[in-house]
Amino acid sequence: MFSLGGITFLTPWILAAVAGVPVLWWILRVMPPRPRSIKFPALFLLKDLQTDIKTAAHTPWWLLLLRSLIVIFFILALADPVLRLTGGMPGDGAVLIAVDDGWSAAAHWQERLDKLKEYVTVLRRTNRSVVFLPTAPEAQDGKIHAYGPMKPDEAEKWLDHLKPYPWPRDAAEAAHVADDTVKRAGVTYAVYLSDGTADDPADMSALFKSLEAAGGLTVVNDADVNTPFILRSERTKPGDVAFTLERLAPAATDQSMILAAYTAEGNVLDTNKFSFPSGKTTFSVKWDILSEMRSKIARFALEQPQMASATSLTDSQWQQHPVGIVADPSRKENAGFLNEVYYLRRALELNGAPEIDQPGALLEKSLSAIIWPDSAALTANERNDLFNWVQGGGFLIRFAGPNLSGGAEDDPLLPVHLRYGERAMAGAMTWEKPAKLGPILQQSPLYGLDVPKDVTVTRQLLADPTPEVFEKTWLQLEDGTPLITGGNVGKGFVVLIHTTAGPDWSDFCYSGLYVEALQRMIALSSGIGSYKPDAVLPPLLVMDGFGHLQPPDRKSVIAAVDPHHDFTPSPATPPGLYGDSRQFHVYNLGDALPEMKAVNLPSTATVETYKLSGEKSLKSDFLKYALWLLALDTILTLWLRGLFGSFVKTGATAALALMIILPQMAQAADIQPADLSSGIYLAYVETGDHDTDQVSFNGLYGLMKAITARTTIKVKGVQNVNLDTDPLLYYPFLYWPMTENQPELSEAAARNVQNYLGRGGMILFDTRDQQFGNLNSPTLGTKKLRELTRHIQIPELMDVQPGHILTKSFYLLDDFPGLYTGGKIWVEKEPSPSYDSVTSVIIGGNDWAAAWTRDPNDRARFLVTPGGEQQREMAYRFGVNVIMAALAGNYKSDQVHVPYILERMHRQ
Amino acid sequence: MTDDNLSRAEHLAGKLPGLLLEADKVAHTFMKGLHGRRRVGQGEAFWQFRQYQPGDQRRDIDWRQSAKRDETFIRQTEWEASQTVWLYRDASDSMNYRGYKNLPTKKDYAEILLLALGIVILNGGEQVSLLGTNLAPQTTYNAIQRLYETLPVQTHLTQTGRPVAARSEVVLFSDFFFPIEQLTTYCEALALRNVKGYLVQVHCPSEKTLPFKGRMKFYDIENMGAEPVILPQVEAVREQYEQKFISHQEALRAAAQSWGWRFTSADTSQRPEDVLGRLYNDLAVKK
Repeated sequence: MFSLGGITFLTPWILAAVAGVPVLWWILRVMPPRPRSIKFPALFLLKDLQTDIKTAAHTPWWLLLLRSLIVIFFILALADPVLRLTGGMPGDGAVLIAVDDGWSAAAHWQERLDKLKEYVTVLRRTNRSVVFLPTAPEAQDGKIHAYGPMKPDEAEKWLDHLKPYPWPRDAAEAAHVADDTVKRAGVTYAVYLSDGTADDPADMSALFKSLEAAGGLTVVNDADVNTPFILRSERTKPGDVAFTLERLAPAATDQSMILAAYTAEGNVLDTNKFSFPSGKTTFSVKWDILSEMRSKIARFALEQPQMASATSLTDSQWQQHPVGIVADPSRKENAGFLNEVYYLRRALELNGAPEIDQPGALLEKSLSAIIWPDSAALTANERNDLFNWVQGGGFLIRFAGPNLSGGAEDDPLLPVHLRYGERAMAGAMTWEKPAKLGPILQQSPLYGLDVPKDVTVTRQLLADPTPEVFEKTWLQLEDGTPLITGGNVGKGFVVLIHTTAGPDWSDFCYSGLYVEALQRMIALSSGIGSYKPDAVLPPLLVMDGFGHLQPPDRKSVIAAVDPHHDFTPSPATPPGLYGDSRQFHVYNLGDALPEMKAVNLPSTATVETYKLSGEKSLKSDFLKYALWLLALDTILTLWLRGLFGSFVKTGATAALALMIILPQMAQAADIQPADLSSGIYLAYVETGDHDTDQVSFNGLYGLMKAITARTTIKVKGVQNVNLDTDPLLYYPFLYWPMTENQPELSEAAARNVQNYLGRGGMILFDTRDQQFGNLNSPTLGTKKLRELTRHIQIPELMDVQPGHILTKSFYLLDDFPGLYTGGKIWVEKEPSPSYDSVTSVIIGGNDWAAAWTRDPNDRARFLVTPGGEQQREMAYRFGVNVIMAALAGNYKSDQVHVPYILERMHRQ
Repeated sequence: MTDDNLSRAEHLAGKLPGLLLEADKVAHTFMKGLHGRRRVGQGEAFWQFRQYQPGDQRRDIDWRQSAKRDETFIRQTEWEASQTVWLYRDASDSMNYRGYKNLPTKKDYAEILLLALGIVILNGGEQVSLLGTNLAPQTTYNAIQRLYETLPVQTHLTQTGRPVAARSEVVLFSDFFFPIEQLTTYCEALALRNVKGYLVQVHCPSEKTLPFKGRMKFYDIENMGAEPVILPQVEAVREQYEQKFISHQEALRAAAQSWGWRFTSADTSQRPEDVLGRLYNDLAVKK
C-alpha cells in the first residue's frame, strides 16, 4: 500500500502507468488535429501550391494538458484510492454484527445506519462476509433471525430495509440465535451496536457472552447517540394534559426540547418548548391547551428524537364523530347569513369541519350523525336512502321549516307526529307574542345546559299532543310546547328541532344553547354505534419505530388486543389505535414501558463510539472527474474543428427570436378573468395541433373584425381555452374544430363543457371535412366528434330548417358556407326556453375558421371553394349570424310576429 | 399546392424582386450622376424628325408634324440605329459561394450588376438581351422585368440561343475560376464577327486573400466527389495563392486584349454602383 497526502492506494503498482503520460504527450503532439473542411470555388488555383511546411499544425498545449489530466485521473482511479484508511477488524472470517433495533434504537437511527454502512465498507475492502443479527423480534413472525453470511454488496442492500421496531429487544433470545450463528457461519469476530439500554442483567450478559465467543467483540456505545426518551401520560382529571418525560442518563447541561401537538393529518397544531434540567432523568411537562384545540390533537410527540416511546396518541372525542350536513355543496349561498348551513357549520366548526354534501355522498361516508336543515329538499329516493340509514342505526338531526310544515303528514323520519301547518306567534295576522324558551326537564338529554332568557321563537311546528310527546321532549317553550324532540326510528335515532336552523323562524341560532345543544346531540350519537367493549379490538393504525401511524401490515403477526388485559408492546400488538373508525382505543408505547436501565458493558470488549472514521473510496470520484474532462475535451475538439460555429449562431438567432416572440405570446395568453368579463371574447378550443389552433385564432380574429365592422357588437378579442383548466363561463361562443389527434376529454373537461352547455353557452363544432362527405356517412371528423362528445350530454339535433334563427339573426341566409359549402348544419331540436330558445350546439363541417382567416395584413389566407370571394362573404355572414344568435338570442325570431301585431294594432 | 411549396414560392418571390429592386436602386444611383454630367434632357420620347426625302416610305410621314410646318417630315425612331448589348452571368455552383455572412453571394452580386447595367443601357436607348436565351433584344425601360424573368433560363455559356448579331457587344459576369482555354473558343468566334466584349470577374474577397488559418481541407464546390485539397497550414501558402490569383487575372486580361476585349474584376464587398460606373464608361456601345 502506498499513501499520499491522506490518500492510500490499494493497488499502487498501477500508478507506474503515470510514467507513460509524457509518451502520450509526445504522440498527441505529433498527431495533427483533424482539419476543418470547407467548400471552396477557386480550387484549381489551390491545387498545385508548393508548400515547404512538413509538420502539421500542433494540437494546442492546453488541449494536451487536458488530455494528460484525463489519463492521470483514470490511472489514479484504477489504483483504488482510499481516503482516511482504517485498520479493519481482527481475524479473517465472517463478522457477526449484532444491532439493537428495538424502540430505544430509534433515537439517532441514521447515525446507527451510517456506522453500519461504514463497517460494510471496511469489510468490502478486506473481502469478508457479514452476518447481521437484529436483537428485536421481527414484525413478520415475532422471532429473532440472523441474516447471512452475505457479501458486503448484498449487505449494503439489506441495510436499506433495516428499521427500528416499536417494541423492546429480546436479549435472551438474541443470545440463543448468536450462539447458533457463531457455530454455523464460521464467524471469527463480533460487533454489537448497542442502543445504550439494558434488559434483565442475566439476559444481557448471556448475549455478551455469546458474542464474545465468536473470537472478539467490539461494542459501539455512545452517550450522544443513545438518547432514548419515554413520554408517559399522567393520569389527571379529564381535559388536562400532563406528561412525564424520562431519559436514560442525566445530561451535563440543560437541554432545550420541544413537545409538539399534531393533528390527524400530521400538521403541527401547537408546540411546547421547555428545558430538560441537567442531572435529572425525569421531568414533568404540563400543558394548557385551549379546549377547542385539544379536540383536534391526534398525538403529542417530541420533535427530536422522533421515536415511538416519545409519542403519545390521544383519543379525542370529536374525531370519532364526523358530522354531515345535507346541502348542495356547489351552491354559493352556503356562506350567506340567511342560510341555514352557515349557522350549522359555524356551530360545528370547533369540532372539525363537517362534511357538506348531497345525501347520496354523505351516506357513503361513515358519519356518526347527519344534520338535515329544512332548506335542503330531498328527492323521494334520497329520503328513502336516508330512512334506511336511520333504520340501520344512523343518527339524524332534523330542522323544521316551510318545507316540512307542508309535508309532515306521513313523514317517517320524525320522532313525533306533527300537526299540519306551522304555528306563527308574531306577525301581521297574529296577536300572540314570540315565545321564550322554557326550562330543560331532568329526563332530557340536554339537561344541564344553560337556557338563555332572550331567545324567542316566532314560528314552530307543533307536535300532536299525545302522552308520549312529553317523554320525547328535550327542550320546550314557556308554554310547554316542544321545541326539540327526539325518538327512535328503527335502530336509529331522529332529533327534530321544531324551528329553522337559520334565523327565519327564531333567533335560536344566535344563542350559545344552539351550539351546545348540537354538540350534546352529536356526542350522544356515539351511543348508537355497534361498539361492544367486551370484544377484542382489531388493529386500526399502528406505530412504526419513529412513532408514525401506519395501516397494519397484513403479512405480519399483528393480532387484536384484548382491552381487559394490560397492554404489552410486541410484534403481535405494536402500539397504535385499535378498534374501528367509529370507536377506537389508543395504546401508547411510553405508558407500557418500565423504567430505563443503562447497559453495563463487559470489560473484555473493545468499546467504540458511533463517530465515523470517515473512510471513503475515491475510485468513483476520480472516474467522475475523468469523464467530465473527457466530455469537456469532446466539446473543445468539436469547437476546434469549427463544427460549433453554425450551431452557436443558429442557436443564438433562435433564442433571440424566442425572446421576441415569447413575451408577445405570453401577453396573448395572459388575460385576466376581470378582463374577460369586461367585454366579449370569441374563444376556440385548443386542439393541441399548432396549425389548427393558429387557423382557429386567425379565423376568429377575422370574424371579430367583420363583426366589429358590420354590427354594433364590440368584440374585445380572441381567446384560446383549455377545456381542462380554463373556466368557460366568460365566453358567449366557443369554436371547436375537430382534429385527428385530440385526446379524449378528461372528466374535468367533460364536466366543464357540460356546465357550459347547460348554462346557456354555445359551441360551434366544426368537423372541417365537408369535402369528404356529410354527417350521414361518418367521416374522420365526425367520428372524432362522436368520440370527443361521448361523455357530454348533447340534446336531440335536427338540421337547420328555413326560418331558423341562424338564417335571419342578422343577415338573411339560405346556406352556411365556410371554406367548403353544402352539407347540413345540425342544431338543437328543442332549445331550452330559459336560454331564449337559442341552440346550444351547432354542428357542421364547412371549416369556417379557415374561411374567416385573415393574416395580419388583412388578406384572406385560404382559397374558398367553389364559390370564391362571394362564398367567403357568405361565410362571414354566417359567422355574424351565429354570434348574433349567441348574444342576442331569438329577438329576430320575435320579429316574425310583427306583421300580425301591426295588423291587430291597425284593426283597433 | 402544398403549404411547403407555397411557402417556398413565397420565399423566392420575396427574395427575387428584392434583387430587381436592388438593381434598380444601383442603376438610378449611378444614373443620377450621369444625368448631371452628360445627357441633360434626354427624355423618354426617342424619336427625331427629318425632312422628307425622295425614297422615304410614305407611311413614315408624320402628318401632324408636317401640318405644323411648311416642310414634310418623316418620323424616325432612334432605336433603329441602336446596338444590342448581350449580357451573361455564370450560373454554376461556384457562384453561390460567399466567404462572409454579410456579403451577397457572387451570383446575387453578378445579377444585381447585370440588371442594373441592363437598366442603364435601356435608359440610354440601346437594346439589351441575354446570351444563350431566346429573348429578343429589348428596348423599353419596362423590358427589364422581362429580362429579370428570363434570367433563370440562362444557365450555361455554350448554350445555344438567339445568335449574337455582328458589331454588337457582350458582357460576361463570372468568377472565371477555370482554365482560360475553356473561354477561348467561344470568345474568339465572337471576336471574329467583330463583336466587342467585356469580361467582368466577380469574386469574393476571401477568394483573393485566402483568410483561413491552420489545417484545412478544401472541397471543390462544383464537384464534391473530387479529391479535396488538404493544406497543413493555410497561412503559409497565402501569399503564394494570392500571386496565383493575380496572375490568373492577368492572363484573363491578356486574353481579353488579344480579342480586342476588356477585362475588369469586382469583389462582392465593393459598391455595385462603383463597378457599374466603371463598366458603363468603358462600354463600347456608348461611343
